[in-house]
Amino acid sequence: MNKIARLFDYQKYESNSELADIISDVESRYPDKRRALSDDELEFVAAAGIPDQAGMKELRPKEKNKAGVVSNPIIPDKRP
Amino acid sequence: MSGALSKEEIYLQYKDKVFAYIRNHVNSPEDAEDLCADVFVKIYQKLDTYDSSKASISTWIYSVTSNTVIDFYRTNHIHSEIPEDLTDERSTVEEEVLSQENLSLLAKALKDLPQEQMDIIVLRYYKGYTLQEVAELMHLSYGVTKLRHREALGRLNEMLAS
Repeated sequence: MNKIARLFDYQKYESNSELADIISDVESRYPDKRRALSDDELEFVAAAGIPDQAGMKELRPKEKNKAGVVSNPIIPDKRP
Repeated sequence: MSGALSKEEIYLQYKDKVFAYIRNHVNSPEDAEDLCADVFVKIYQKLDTYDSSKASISTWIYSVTSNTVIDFYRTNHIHSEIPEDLTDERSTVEEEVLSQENLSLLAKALKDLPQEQMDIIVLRYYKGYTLQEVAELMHLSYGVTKLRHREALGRLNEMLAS
């Protein structure tokens, strides 16, 4: 892992305020759309990671995008 | 052995940092709490081997924490891979790089980058997005993102080396 990546990882531990401000600024412009699946939702994900869309739709409220189209995005959180 | 801090003082002083770091890498709060406890057990067990001439105690605790998270992924085969921002190299040579001073230097170097390059670096290395995901977030082509990323890394490494 390169020095930059290692420093960013260290930031998650040490939390330098200058760097935290920069990160907050970037995060405000690119909100994280990823989220972890809930325990209920995990029941509908097969071992291969393939979600049962029908089952999960019953759990999640319908969401509309800016065009007013109803969607039910399921985006597994890739972050550990 | 750290004569300056007792085990209790170490726990009180570092528990929040350790937990925040683990929570950044592990989804489940329960797993995070278990790992946090594991970290401090290891710290107490290894405290006699801590060498203050090699690294500050904070950096040493960070290494123990980082390695514990890596072991967690290996043991649980979560997503079948260790996250890119963690290394499976247990090198202590890196510890000299890890300091508040270098974090401040990184912050200053990022501020000197064009905003687009700064965004790519933060999204890639702090948030953990792939370059493809960064390109989509920033409404750029993958090729342009990859180029800007390479330019940004080059400039950052130059600034941090000087």
